[in-house]
Amino acid sequence: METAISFGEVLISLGRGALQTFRIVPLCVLFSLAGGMVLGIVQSRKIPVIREIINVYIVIMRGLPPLLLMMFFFFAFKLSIAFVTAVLVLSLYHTGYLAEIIRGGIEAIPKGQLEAAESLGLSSYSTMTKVVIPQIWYQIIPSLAGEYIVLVKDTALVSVIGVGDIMQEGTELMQLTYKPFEIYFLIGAFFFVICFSLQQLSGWAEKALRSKLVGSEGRA
Amino acid sequence: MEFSFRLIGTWLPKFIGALVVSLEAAVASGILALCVGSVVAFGMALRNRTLTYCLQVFTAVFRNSPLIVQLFFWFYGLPFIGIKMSSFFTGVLAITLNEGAFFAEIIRGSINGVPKNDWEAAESLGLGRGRILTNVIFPQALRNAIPALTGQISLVIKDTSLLSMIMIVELTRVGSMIYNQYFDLTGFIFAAALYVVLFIGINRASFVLENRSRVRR
Repeated sequence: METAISFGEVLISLGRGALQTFRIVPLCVLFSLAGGMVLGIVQSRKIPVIREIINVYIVIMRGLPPLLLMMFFFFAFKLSIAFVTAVLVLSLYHTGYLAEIIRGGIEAIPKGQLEAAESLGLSSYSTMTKVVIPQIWYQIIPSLAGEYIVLVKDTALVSVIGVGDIMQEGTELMQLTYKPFEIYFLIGAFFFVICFSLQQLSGWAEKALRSKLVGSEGRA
Repeated sequence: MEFSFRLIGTWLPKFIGALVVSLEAAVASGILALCVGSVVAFGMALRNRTLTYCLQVFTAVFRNSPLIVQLFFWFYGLPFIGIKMSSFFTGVLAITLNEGAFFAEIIRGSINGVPKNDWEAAESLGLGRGRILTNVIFPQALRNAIPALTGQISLVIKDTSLLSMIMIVELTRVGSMIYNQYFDLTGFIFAAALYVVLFIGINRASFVLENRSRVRR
Protein backbone atom coordinates (compact mmCIF):
# COMPACT_ATOMS: atom_id res chain seq x y z
CA MET A 1 0.00 0.00 0.00
CA GLU A 2 1.42 3.33 -1.04
CA THR A 3 0.79 6.00 1.51
CA ALA A 4 0.87 9.71 1.12
CA ILE A 5 1.42 10.67 4.72
CA SER A 6 4.16 13.23 4.98
CA PHE A 7 6.55 13.55 7.85
CA GLY A 8 4.84 16.80 8.80
CA GLU A 9 1.49 15.06 9.13
CA VAL A 10 3.08 12.36 11.27
CA LEU A 11 4.46 15.01 13.57
CA ILE A 12 1.09 16.77 13.79
CA SER A 13 -0.69 13.54 14.77
CA LEU A 14 1.93 12.66 17.32
CA GLY A 15 1.76 16.21 18.63
CA ARG A 16 -1.97 15.86 19.14
CA GLY A 17 -1.37 12.67 21.10
CA ALA A 18 1.41 14.33 23.06
CA LEU A 19 -1.00 17.08 24.13
CA GLN A 20 -3.40 14.46 25.47
CA THR A 21 -0.52 12.83 27.37
CA PHE A 22 0.38 16.24 28.78
CA ARG A 23 -3.18 16.62 30.02
CA ILE A 24 -3.07 13.28 31.85
CA VAL A 25 0.32 13.59 33.56
CA PRO A 26 -0.22 16.70 35.76
CA LEU A 27 -3.62 15.46 36.97
CA CYS A 28 -2.16 12.09 37.96
CA VAL A 29 0.81 13.78 39.63
CA LEU A 30 -1.52 15.93 41.74
CA PHE A 31 -4.07 13.26 42.65
CA SER A 32 -1.50 10.60 43.49
CA LEU A 33 0.47 13.07 45.61
CA ALA A 34 -2.67 14.03 47.51
CA GLY A 35 -3.69 10.39 47.96
CA GLY A 36 -0.19 9.30 48.89
CA MET A 37 0.08 12.14 51.38
CA VAL A 38 -3.15 11.18 53.15
CA LEU A 39 -2.39 7.45 53.21
CA GLY A 40 1.25 8.04 54.16
CA ILE A 41 0.31 10.26 57.12
CA VAL A 42 -2.36 7.82 58.30
CA GLN A 43 0.13 4.94 57.98
CA SER A 44 2.72 6.79 60.07
CA ARG A 45 0.20 7.10 62.91
CA LYS A 46 -0.09 3.28 63.14
CA ILE A 47 -3.83 3.10 63.85
CA PRO A 48 -4.57 -0.63 64.42
CA VAL A 49 -7.29 -1.73 61.96
CA ILE A 50 -7.00 1.09 59.43
CA ARG A 51 -3.32 0.38 59.11
CA GLU A 52 -3.99 -3.19 57.99
CA ILE A 53 -6.61 -2.07 55.48
CA ILE A 54 -4.27 0.45 53.92
CA ASN A 55 -1.51 -2.17 53.88
CA VAL A 56 -3.75 -4.47 51.86
CA TYR A 57 -4.47 -1.63 49.43
CA ILE A 58 -0.76 -0.90 49.04
CA VAL A 59 0.16 -4.55 48.48
CA ILE A 60 -2.58 -4.91 45.84
CA MET A 61 -1.45 -1.79 44.01
CA ARG A 62 2.18 -2.84 44.16
CA GLY A 63 1.38 -6.37 43.04
CA LEU A 64 -0.91 -5.63 40.10
CA PRO A 65 0.25 -4.75 36.61
CA PRO A 66 -1.14 -1.29 35.70
CA LEU A 67 -2.33 -2.65 32.37
CA LEU A 68 -4.64 -5.15 34.06
CA LEU A 69 -5.89 -2.50 36.47
CA MET A 70 -6.63 -0.19 33.55
CA MET A 71 -8.65 -2.78 31.65
CA PHE A 72 -10.49 -3.85 34.79
CA PHE A 73 -11.62 -0.32 35.67
CA PHE A 74 -12.48 0.44 32.08
CA PHE A 75 -14.78 -2.57 31.79
CA ALA A 76 -16.07 -2.50 35.38
CA PHE A 77 -17.31 1.06 35.61
CA LYS A 78 -17.89 1.72 31.93
CA LEU A 79 -17.24 5.41 32.45
CA SER A 80 -18.26 7.16 29.28
CA ILE A 81 -15.02 9.14 29.24
CA ALA A 82 -11.94 6.95 28.95
CA PHE A 83 -9.87 9.95 30.01
CA VAL A 84 -11.40 9.89 33.51
CA THR A 85 -10.70 6.16 33.84
CA ALA A 86 -7.09 6.68 32.77
CA VAL A 87 -6.47 9.44 35.31
CA LEU A 88 -8.32 7.54 38.05
CA VAL A 89 -6.41 4.29 37.52
CA LEU A 90 -2.96 5.85 37.25
CA SER A 91 -3.64 7.99 40.34
CA LEU A 92 -4.89 5.05 42.41
CA TYR A 93 -1.98 2.89 41.29
CA HIS A 94 0.73 5.41 42.11
CA THR A 95 -0.98 6.44 45.36
CA GLY A 96 0.04 3.02 46.68
CA TYR A 97 3.70 3.64 45.91
CA LEU A 98 3.71 7.28 47.05
CA ALA A 99 2.10 6.35 50.38
CA GLU A 100 5.08 4.11 51.12
CA ILE A 101 7.57 6.82 50.10
CA ILE A 102 5.88 9.50 52.22
CA ARG A 103 5.48 7.20 55.22
CA GLY A 104 9.22 6.47 54.97
CA GLY A 105 9.95 10.19 54.82
CA ILE A 106 7.83 10.92 57.88
CA GLU A 107 9.35 8.09 59.89
CA ALA A 108 12.85 9.34 59.08
CA ILE A 109 12.19 12.55 61.04
CA PRO A 110 14.04 12.22 64.39
CA LYS A 111 11.83 11.51 67.41
CA GLY A 112 13.39 14.42 69.30
CA GLN A 113 11.65 16.88 66.99
CA LEU A 114 8.24 15.43 67.78
CA GLU A 115 8.97 15.62 71.48
CA ALA A 116 10.19 19.19 71.09
CA ALA A 117 6.99 20.11 69.24
CA GLU A 118 4.91 18.47 71.95
CA SER A 119 6.77 20.30 74.68
CA LEU A 120 6.01 23.57 72.86
CA GLY A 121 2.34 22.66 73.13
CA LEU A 122 1.73 22.14 69.40
CA SER A 123 -1.29 20.03 68.52
CA SER A 124 -0.62 16.86 66.54
CA TYR A 125 -2.12 18.58 63.49
CA SER A 126 0.26 21.54 63.66
CA THR A 127 3.15 19.21 64.40
CA MET A 128 2.42 17.37 61.19
CA THR A 129 1.81 20.41 58.97
CA LYS A 130 4.36 22.81 60.45
CA VAL A 131 7.17 20.55 61.64
CA VAL A 132 7.15 17.18 59.92
CA ILE A 133 5.82 17.69 56.38
CA PRO A 134 8.07 20.66 55.49
CA GLN A 135 11.09 18.53 56.32
CA ILE A 136 10.28 15.33 54.45
CA TRP A 137 10.84 16.80 50.95
CA TYR A 138 14.59 16.81 51.15
CA GLN A 139 14.54 13.15 52.11
CA ILE A 140 12.01 11.93 49.56
CA ILE A 141 12.77 13.98 46.46
CA PRO A 142 14.87 11.28 44.75
CA SER A 143 12.26 8.54 45.28
CA LEU A 144 9.44 10.94 44.42
CA ALA A 145 11.11 11.84 41.12
CA GLY A 146 11.76 8.17 40.42
CA GLU A 147 8.09 7.37 40.99
CA TYR A 148 6.91 10.22 38.77
CA ILE A 149 9.22 9.02 36.00
CA VAL A 150 7.49 5.64 36.24
CA LEU A 151 4.13 7.45 36.17
CA VAL A 152 5.04 9.33 32.99
CA LYS A 153 6.07 6.05 31.37
CA ASP A 154 2.88 4.35 32.56
CA THR A 155 0.78 6.91 30.71
CA ALA A 156 1.80 5.08 27.52
CA LEU A 157 -0.55 2.31 28.72
CA VAL A 158 -3.68 4.46 28.53
CA SER A 159 -3.69 3.83 24.77
CA VAL A 160 -5.28 0.40 25.43
CA ILE A 161 -8.52 2.03 26.55
CA GLY A 162 -8.53 4.53 23.70
CA VAL A 163 -7.67 7.85 25.30
CA GLY A 164 -6.01 9.15 22.15
CA ASP A 165 -2.60 9.70 23.69
CA ILE A 166 0.69 9.72 21.81
CA MET A 167 0.98 5.92 21.87
CA GLN A 168 -2.43 5.40 20.30
CA GLU A 169 -1.77 8.00 17.62
CA GLY A 170 1.54 6.28 16.97
CA THR A 171 0.02 2.83 16.59
CA GLU A 172 -2.61 4.17 14.20
CA LEU A 173 0.11 5.91 12.18
CA MET A 174 2.14 2.71 12.16
CA GLN A 175 -0.76 0.83 10.61
CA LEU A 176 -1.04 3.52 7.91
CA THR A 177 2.61 4.03 7.11
CA TYR A 178 4.34 0.76 8.05
CA LYS A 179 7.25 2.64 9.51
CA PRO A 180 7.52 1.08 12.99
CA PHE A 181 11.12 2.06 13.72
CA GLU A 182 10.68 5.73 12.90
CA ILE A 183 7.38 6.16 14.72
CA TYR A 184 8.25 4.28 17.89
CA PHE A 185 11.62 5.98 17.92
CA LEU A 186 9.86 9.38 17.92
CA ILE A 187 7.51 8.30 20.72
CA GLY A 188 10.41 6.90 22.70
CA ALA A 189 12.28 10.17 22.23
CA PHE A 190 9.24 12.10 23.46
CA PHE A 191 9.14 10.12 26.71
CA PHE A 192 12.91 10.19 26.99
CA VAL A 193 12.98 13.98 26.95
CA ILE A 194 10.34 14.23 29.70
CA CYS A 195 11.81 11.54 31.94
CA PHE A 196 15.40 12.65 31.47
CA SER A 197 14.57 16.26 32.31
CA LEU A 198 12.60 15.10 35.37
CA GLN A 199 15.68 13.20 36.48
CA GLN A 200 17.95 16.23 36.00
CA LEU A 201 15.38 18.45 37.72
CA SER A 202 15.27 16.18 40.76
CA GLY A 203 19.06 16.22 41.03
CA TRP A 204 19.00 19.99 40.84
CA ALA A 205 16.19 20.31 43.41
CA GLU A 206 17.98 18.00 45.79
CA LYS A 207 21.13 20.10 45.57
CA ALA A 208 19.20 23.34 45.98
CA LEU A 209 17.36 22.02 49.05
CA ARG A 210 20.57 20.76 50.58
CA SER A 211 22.33 24.10 50.19
CA LYS A 212 19.26 25.84 51.63
CA LEU A 213 19.25 23.56 54.65
CA VAL A 214 22.97 24.01 55.14
CA GLY A 215 22.67 27.77 54.65
CA SER A 216 19.87 28.28 57.17
CA GLU A 217 21.29 26.10 59.90
CA GLY A 218 24.93 26.72 59.28
CA ARG A 219 25.89 23.07 59.31
CA ALA A 220 26.09 20.17 56.95
CA MET B 1 -19.98 -7.12 39.43
CA GLU B 2 -20.17 -10.77 40.38
CA PHE B 3 -17.60 -13.49 40.75
CA SER B 4 -18.48 -16.70 38.94
CA PHE B 5 -16.72 -19.79 40.23
CA ARG B 6 -18.16 -21.92 37.44
CA LEU B 7 -16.33 -19.79 34.91
CA ILE B 8 -13.05 -20.20 36.76
CA GLY B 9 -13.64 -23.97 36.79
CA THR B 10 -14.06 -24.22 33.04
CA TRP B 11 -11.19 -21.84 32.32
CA LEU B 12 -8.81 -23.28 34.90
CA PRO B 13 -6.65 -25.23 32.37
CA LYS B 14 -6.27 -22.03 30.35
CA PHE B 15 -5.34 -20.11 33.49
CA ILE B 16 -2.70 -22.66 34.47
CA GLY B 17 -1.20 -22.54 30.99
CA ALA B 18 -1.22 -18.75 31.08
CA LEU B 19 0.37 -18.70 34.53
CA VAL B 20 3.16 -20.93 33.21
CA VAL B 21 3.69 -18.61 30.24
CA SER B 22 3.83 -15.55 32.52
CA LEU B 23 6.29 -17.27 34.85
CA GLU B 24 8.45 -18.53 31.97
CA ALA B 25 8.66 -15.05 30.52
CA ALA B 26 9.41 -13.52 33.91
CA VAL B 27 12.11 -16.05 34.83
CA ALA B 28 13.74 -15.98 31.39
CA SER B 29 13.83 -12.20 31.12
CA GLY B 30 14.71 -11.81 34.80
CA ILE B 31 17.80 -14.03 34.50
CA LEU B 32 18.85 -12.52 31.15
CA ALA B 33 18.33 -9.00 32.49
CA LEU B 34 20.51 -9.81 35.48
CA CYS B 35 23.25 -10.94 33.06
CA VAL B 36 22.87 -7.82 30.90
CA GLY B 37 22.89 -5.61 33.99
CA SER B 38 25.99 -7.30 35.41
CA VAL B 39 27.90 -7.01 32.13
CA VAL B 40 26.94 -3.36 31.67
CA ALA B 41 27.82 -2.43 35.26
CA PHE B 42 31.09 -4.33 34.90
CA GLY B 43 31.88 -2.46 31.71
CA MET B 44 31.17 0.88 33.39
CA ALA B 45 33.51 0.02 36.28
CA LEU B 46 36.41 -0.57 33.87
CA ARG B 47 36.77 3.22 33.60
CA ASN B 48 37.25 3.25 29.85
CA ARG B 49 35.84 6.61 28.84
CA THR B 50 34.34 5.64 25.47
CA LEU B 51 32.90 2.38 26.77
CA THR B 52 31.39 4.06 29.83
CA TYR B 53 29.82 6.75 27.66
CA CYS B 54 28.23 4.18 25.33
CA LEU B 55 26.89 2.18 28.27
CA GLN B 56 25.50 5.33 29.90
CA VAL B 57 23.61 6.10 26.70
CA PHE B 58 22.26 2.53 26.71
CA THR B 59 20.97 2.71 30.28
CA ALA B 60 19.58 6.24 29.89
CA VAL B 61 17.67 5.36 26.72
CA PHE B 62 16.22 2.09 27.99
CA ARG B 63 15.33 3.40 31.44
CA ASN B 64 13.66 6.59 30.30
CA SER B 65 11.25 5.28 27.70
CA PRO B 66 8.16 3.17 28.36
CA LEU B 67 8.49 -0.60 28.03
CA ILE B 68 5.44 -0.76 25.79
CA VAL B 69 7.09 1.59 23.28
CA GLN B 70 10.21 -0.56 23.29
CA LEU B 71 8.13 -3.71 22.96
CA PHE B 72 6.27 -2.39 19.89
CA PHE B 73 9.53 -1.07 18.48
CA TRP B 74 10.99 -4.58 18.42
CA PHE B 75 7.74 -6.41 17.69
CA TYR B 76 6.79 -4.38 14.63
CA GLY B 77 10.30 -3.28 13.68
CA LEU B 78 12.29 -6.52 13.65
CA PRO B 79 10.20 -8.34 11.01
CA PHE B 80 10.52 -5.18 8.93
CA ILE B 81 14.28 -5.64 8.65
CA GLY B 82 13.95 -9.37 8.04
CA ILE B 83 14.40 -10.74 11.56
CA LYS B 84 11.62 -13.17 12.36
CA MET B 85 11.26 -14.20 15.98
CA SER B 86 8.35 -15.71 17.86
CA SER B 87 6.43 -13.06 19.79
CA PHE B 88 7.45 -14.75 23.03
CA PHE B 89 11.14 -14.20 22.29
CA THR B 90 10.49 -10.65 21.15
CA GLY B 91 8.73 -10.01 24.45
CA VAL B 92 11.56 -11.55 26.46
CA LEU B 93 14.08 -9.50 24.46
CA ALA B 94 12.19 -6.26 25.15
CA ILE B 95 11.83 -6.92 28.90
CA THR B 96 15.46 -8.07 29.12
CA LEU B 97 16.86 -4.88 27.58
CA ASN B 98 14.54 -2.64 29.59
CA GLU B 99 15.08 -4.31 32.98
CA GLY B 100 18.75 -4.94 32.16
CA ALA B 101 19.28 -1.19 32.10
CA PHE B 102 17.65 -0.88 35.55
CA PHE B 103 19.69 -3.77 36.96
CA ALA B 104 22.84 -2.17 35.53
CA GLU B 105 22.15 1.07 37.39
CA ILE B 106 21.51 -0.79 40.65
CA ILE B 107 24.71 -2.87 40.37
CA ARG B 108 26.73 0.16 39.28
CA GLY B 109 25.62 2.05 42.38
CA SER B 110 26.49 -0.95 44.49
CA ILE B 111 29.97 -1.24 42.92
CA ASN B 112 30.57 2.41 43.75
CA GLY B 113 29.50 1.67 47.31
CA VAL B 114 32.24 -0.88 47.93
CA PRO B 115 34.83 0.80 50.18
CA LYS B 116 37.93 2.24 48.47
CA ASN B 117 40.16 0.26 50.86
CA ASP B 118 39.22 -2.96 49.09
CA TRP B 119 40.48 -1.56 45.80
CA GLU B 120 43.70 -0.40 47.42
CA ALA B 121 44.27 -3.66 49.26
CA ALA B 122 43.75 -5.68 46.07
CA GLU B 123 46.02 -3.32 44.12
CA SER B 124 48.77 -3.68 46.70
CA LEU B 125 48.54 -7.44 46.16
CA GLY B 126 49.43 -6.77 42.53
CA LEU B 127 46.05 -7.62 40.97
CA GLY B 128 45.03 -5.97 37.70
CA ARG B 129 41.87 -3.89 37.37
CA GLY B 130 39.90 -6.69 35.70
CA ARG B 131 40.93 -9.25 38.31
CA ILE B 132 40.10 -6.86 41.17
CA LEU B 133 36.63 -6.31 39.75
CA THR B 134 35.79 -9.97 39.14
CA ASN B 135 37.29 -11.46 42.28
CA VAL B 136 37.06 -8.74 44.90
CA ILE B 137 34.60 -5.99 44.12
CA PHE B 138 31.90 -7.63 42.06
CA PRO B 139 30.91 -10.44 44.46
CA GLN B 140 30.53 -7.92 47.30
CA ALA B 141 28.63 -5.48 45.13
CA LEU B 142 26.18 -8.12 43.97
CA ARG B 143 25.50 -9.21 47.54
CA ASN B 144 24.95 -5.64 48.72
CA ALA B 145 22.59 -5.04 45.81
CA ILE B 146 20.26 -7.93 46.72
CA PRO B 147 17.49 -5.85 48.37
CA ALA B 148 17.30 -3.43 45.44
CA LEU B 149 17.56 -6.25 42.90
CA THR B 150 14.73 -8.29 44.39
CA GLY B 151 12.57 -5.17 44.42
CA GLN B 152 13.24 -4.77 40.73
CA ILE B 153 12.57 -8.46 40.06
CA SER B 154 9.05 -8.11 41.47
CA LEU B 155 8.48 -5.54 38.70
CA VAL B 156 9.49 -8.04 36.00
CA ILE B 157 6.41 -10.18 36.66
CA LYS B 158 4.25 -7.09 36.22
CA ASP B 159 6.08 -6.26 32.99
CA THR B 160 5.03 -9.59 31.51
CA SER B 161 1.42 -8.38 31.48
CA LEU B 162 2.41 -6.22 28.51
CA LEU B 163 3.01 -9.38 26.49
CA SER B 164 -0.77 -9.59 26.18
CA MET B 165 -0.43 -6.67 23.76
CA ILE B 166 1.55 -8.81 21.32
CA MET B 167 -0.90 -11.70 21.24
CA ILE B 168 0.73 -13.92 23.84
CA VAL B 169 -1.79 -15.80 25.96
CA GLU B 170 -0.64 -14.96 29.48
CA LEU B 171 -2.61 -14.03 32.60
CA THR B 172 -3.84 -10.59 31.55
CA ARG B 173 -4.77 -11.92 28.12
CA VAL B 174 -6.89 -14.74 29.57
CA GLY B 175 -8.69 -12.16 31.70
CA SER B 176 -9.57 -10.08 28.66
CA MET B 177 -10.46 -13.18 26.62
CA ILE B 178 -13.03 -14.12 29.26
CA TYR B 179 -14.39 -10.59 29.28
CA ASN B 180 -14.69 -10.52 25.50
CA GLN B 181 -16.59 -13.79 25.51
CA TYR B 182 -18.96 -13.40 28.48
CA PHE B 183 -18.69 -9.71 29.45
CA ASP B 184 -17.71 -10.98 32.86
CA LEU B 185 -14.95 -9.51 35.01
CA THR B 186 -14.24 -12.77 36.86
CA GLY B 187 -11.26 -13.49 34.66
CA PHE B 188 -9.64 -10.15 35.48
CA ILE B 189 -10.25 -10.62 39.19
CA PHE B 190 -8.79 -14.13 39.20
CA ALA B 191 -5.76 -13.01 37.17
CA ALA B 192 -5.31 -10.06 39.56
CA ALA B 193 -5.42 -12.42 42.54
CA LEU B 194 -2.73 -14.60 40.94
CA TYR B 195 -0.51 -11.56 40.33
CA VAL B 196 -0.87 -10.42 43.93
CA VAL B 197 -0.08 -13.93 45.22
CA LEU B 198 3.03 -14.03 43.02
CA PHE B 199 4.04 -10.59 44.28
CA ILE B 200 3.67 -11.62 47.92
CA GLY B 201 5.58 -14.84 47.20
CA ILE B 202 8.48 -12.94 45.64
CA ASN B 203 8.46 -10.51 48.56
CA ARG B 204 8.67 -13.33 51.11
CA ALA B 205 11.42 -15.06 49.14
CA SER B 206 13.45 -11.87 48.86
CA PHE B 207 13.07 -11.28 52.59
CA VAL B 208 14.57 -14.71 53.27
CA LEU B 209 17.32 -14.10 50.71
CA GLU B 210 18.20 -10.74 52.24
CA ASN B 211 18.52 -12.24 55.71
CA ARG B 212 20.65 -15.10 54.48
CA SER B 213 22.98 -12.93 52.45
CA ARG B 214 23.57 -10.40 55.18
CA VAL B 215 27.16 -10.46 56.40
CA ARG B 216 28.00 -9.52 59.94
CA ARG B 217 31.43 -8.03 60.41
